[in-house]
Amino acid sequence: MLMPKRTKWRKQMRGKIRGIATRGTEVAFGEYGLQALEPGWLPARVIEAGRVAATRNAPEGKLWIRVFPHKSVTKKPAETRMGTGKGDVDYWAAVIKPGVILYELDGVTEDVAKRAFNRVAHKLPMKCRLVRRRHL
Amino acid sequence: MQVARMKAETRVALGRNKLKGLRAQGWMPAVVYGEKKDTDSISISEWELEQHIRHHHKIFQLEYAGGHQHAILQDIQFDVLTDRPRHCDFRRIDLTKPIEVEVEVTLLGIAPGIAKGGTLVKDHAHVTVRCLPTEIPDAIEVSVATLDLDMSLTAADVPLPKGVELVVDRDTVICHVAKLVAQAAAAPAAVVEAAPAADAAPAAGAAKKDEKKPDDKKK
Repeated sequence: MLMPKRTKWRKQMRGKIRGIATRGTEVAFGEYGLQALEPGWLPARVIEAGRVAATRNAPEGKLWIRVFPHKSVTKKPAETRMGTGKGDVDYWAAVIKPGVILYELDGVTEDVAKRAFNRVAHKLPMKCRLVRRRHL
Repeated sequence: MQVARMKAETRVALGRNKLKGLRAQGWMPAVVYGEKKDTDSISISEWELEQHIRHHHKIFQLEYAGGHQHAILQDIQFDVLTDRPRHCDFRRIDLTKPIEVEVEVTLLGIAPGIAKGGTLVKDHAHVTVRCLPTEIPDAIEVSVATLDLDMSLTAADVPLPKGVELVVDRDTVICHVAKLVAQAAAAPAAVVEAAPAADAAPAAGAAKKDEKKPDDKKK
């Protein structure tokens, strides 16, 4: 699973996801992309599940993962009383704003890309849509 | 490439709030710059621009302020979620002088490398060429019928129409046949946009020294 090699601070504040994305919103590598339409956190294991689903449904294509889980999310153990500090890091997540391209696919037909990204989108915790590269 | 005519109006509405009203009326803001003249703020019809984009028009004769100006569609900003054009840039051009412009590369045929377990990857969807504005090709077609596994096509292999010359490096790879994604992506490769801080402490997962005992938490 994806996670940072090292970080300056181990635990982070949760933060808020405001506004829409201004970066990473264009299909830049492949011909088709999966774009998030809602904000949310994308855990590393979900990113990996999406990668597996895409490669299984489009084995002849090339896949790019455009997001990276930079954010550490902590969790207190079950049946623990409150207090005694912040919990331990449970998982890593990517903070997603609406408009971000999550995955890109190339070397496949539109039907294949649509089917593969449909399978991926069902695993994600946000609404998504298929977008094509824009040629001006 | 044909020169498309488009009507425009000189724009006095500047700033976010006024442009919001402009867009609500079906217009959109645009600017015209270049040729060492002052930048003109104009407004154009959003619907008309969408029609031109659909027909891949790039060279325009803009009619505004009682005159006309030849310009190339330099850039368009789209709304991230609705795909509606929000703003566009026009660069003034002289139809008699060659300009540098990006042209889409279209791949034709089926590469033999795909049958051997490869996948065709487009490294550069566009190439920069220099030509007269009226001679800009809609797209440059390249055949991939000779591409075997681990082979690539470079910009030097791109057949160019008469009057069009290549600007990018001749060794620039246009496309290549890579190995199957199922094999190549055994380890996930991610495009990381922002790397973590360089002078960082060990990762959270690695540092478990100060992990508290379960007895401390359960009272």
